[in-house]
Amino acid sequence: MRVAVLGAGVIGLSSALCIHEQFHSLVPSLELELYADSFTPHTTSDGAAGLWQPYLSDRGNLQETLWNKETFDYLLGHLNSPAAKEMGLFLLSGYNLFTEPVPDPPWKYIVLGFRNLTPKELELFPDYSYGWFNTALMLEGRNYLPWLTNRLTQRGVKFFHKKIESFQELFSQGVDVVINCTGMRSGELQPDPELQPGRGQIIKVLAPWVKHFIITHDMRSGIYSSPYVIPGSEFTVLGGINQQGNWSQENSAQDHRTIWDSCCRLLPALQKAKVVGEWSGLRPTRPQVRLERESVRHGNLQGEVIHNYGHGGFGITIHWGCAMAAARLFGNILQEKRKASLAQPRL
Amino acid sequence: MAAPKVAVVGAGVIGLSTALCIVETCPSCSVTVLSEQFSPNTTGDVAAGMLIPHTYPGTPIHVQKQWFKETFTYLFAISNSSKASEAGIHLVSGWQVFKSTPKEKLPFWSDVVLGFRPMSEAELQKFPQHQFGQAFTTLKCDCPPYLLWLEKRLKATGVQMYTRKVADLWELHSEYDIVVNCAGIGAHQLVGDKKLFPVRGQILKVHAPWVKNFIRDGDGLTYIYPGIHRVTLGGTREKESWSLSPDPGSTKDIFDRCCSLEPSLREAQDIKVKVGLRPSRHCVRLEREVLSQGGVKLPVVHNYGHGACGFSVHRGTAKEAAHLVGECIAALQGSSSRAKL
Repeated sequence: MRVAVLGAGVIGLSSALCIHEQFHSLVPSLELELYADSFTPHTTSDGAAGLWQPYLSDRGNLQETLWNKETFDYLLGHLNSPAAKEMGLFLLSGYNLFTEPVPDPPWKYIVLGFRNLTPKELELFPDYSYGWFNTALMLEGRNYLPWLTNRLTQRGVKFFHKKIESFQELFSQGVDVVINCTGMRSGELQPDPELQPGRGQIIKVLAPWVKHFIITHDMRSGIYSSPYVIPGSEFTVLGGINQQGNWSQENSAQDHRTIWDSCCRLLPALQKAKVVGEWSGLRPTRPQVRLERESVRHGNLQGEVIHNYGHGGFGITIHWGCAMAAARLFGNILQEKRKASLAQPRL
Repeated sequence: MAAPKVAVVGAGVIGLSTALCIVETCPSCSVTVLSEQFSPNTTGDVAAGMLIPHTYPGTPIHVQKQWFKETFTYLFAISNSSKASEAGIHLVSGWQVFKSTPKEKLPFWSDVVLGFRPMSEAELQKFPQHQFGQAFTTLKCDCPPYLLWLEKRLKATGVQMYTRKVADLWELHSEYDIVVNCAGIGAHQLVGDKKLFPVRGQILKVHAPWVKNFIRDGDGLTYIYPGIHRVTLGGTREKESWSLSPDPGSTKDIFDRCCSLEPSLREAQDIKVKVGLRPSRHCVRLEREVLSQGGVKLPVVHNYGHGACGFSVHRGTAKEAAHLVGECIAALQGSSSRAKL
């Protein structure tokens, strides 16, 4: 049973790990291969700050809230384990700020210690009049992806630095199931008009005195288009750009100024922070995550594809719940194949 | 009196902040700081500088609360300004956890810090050996940056600072009109205060930049305080111990206790061990005294004995000391005008 995972971002690597963990002992013939043209530290997941936080509303996708919760609980369970530091996993507390009262988010009971901000706390942020405080998790891609890669390598999963041009290409080579975790470029394998880039740009600075995340919200302009500050283990990420439909991965000087000015206004001490890097990436935005099976036929070639892409700006936040769901779909495929082979008359 | 000459003995957090308050309240004063030690060799340089007060048994709670509140308010404003990183002041959130539920669930300072509330069940799950906890956000003064920033501000106002070991306050009577004694643990010898005793504290400063929240055991012995560059792990409380040498047994014990609160600390790097002597006393000695020999008088203001919470109350006691200096000046001016008659 040959399974090809496409994509080596957080979605591809975690889906591969989840499937291998659950099925390698049940399916002795399981051969897992991972194909990607981008590996850590060059994936979208590597550029993200790594804060676990879903969007403010689930956009009607209750399933996504459940997957977010599964991910948070899974990570929380690893927090006290010896692997935590290597995984890039740690607790981080912080602030979400608004210019008007807003309803509590669907994840208020998932994070730790969620509460409204007190008037004294709001004095810290004169441009904002309402907000939340909670403790969440950081999962830094630059550490987590290598950790996942090590776990997969230990398990004998084979990695191929290769761009796959079509699902058929793999089926013609004898692959039985493809797990499609190609993120922003899924459209190249199969057109998907619902998948659009949400371009982000971030500035990396040294500001080790910042110990909280601060995410501001402008309810009119949309998620991540208002300044945010997220302290990581090696540097602090300043951001606040989310341009729908912009495919450019070049850093823009104007966006740099927007981020710098708005973050320094939010936290005046940042004026003294040293800039150590800049990065642009494309959030693979979709009205909902595409996590479903598809039987793909081309001529006399047939294979099963499990799509797992379109995680927007919450890939790290939702990854494990989606990996588990992908593994369940894979389990269904195995069941069907087993029944089909049992039903084959012996000639 | 033209320009009262004030000597502040001691250049730790108490001496420097007191000197600054005197300059602020008495611009005509000429203030000089004299100290055997300056940052990074003061007691405060060892301390984590967390604004979490202890309780002085001999001081009324409302006074301690006032000191803490003034200090918190003052530092809060700095942390919110562009000067925050230079001054070493930053906000930090975290948890104080108790193995058994304490009698007093609301300490006197709970409404001064930010967002104080009991921990939820979910939060307590990270601490399986602890039954109760409090979550809040407070301030941390990183040293040496904070002391260096105070020194810089003092120099900008014209305050002179000299390395000098003062053996006896009286030796200053011919050069200065008023002496302010902020000698900390040094007051034991300097003024022979037998009520002042050291409480030895050993700490580790480690590189563990993924630790962003503080964790403190309610017993006050085990704590994890993330600073700008290093995390302070503590500690010990050894009454009457004067030893400044690190004890390897304590190092291992502190490390193990902290790792049981925060297991990821096992990966901490570059462990540095430091020792400080908390200048402990039943209450802070914050009062005036007049020394006199052969008809010559020297007004003294004492401001020492802050024990385990120098940082937590430093600005409040500095302001009170500056006020007492003002009283000394008024008294001197009164007696000098009487002398003119």
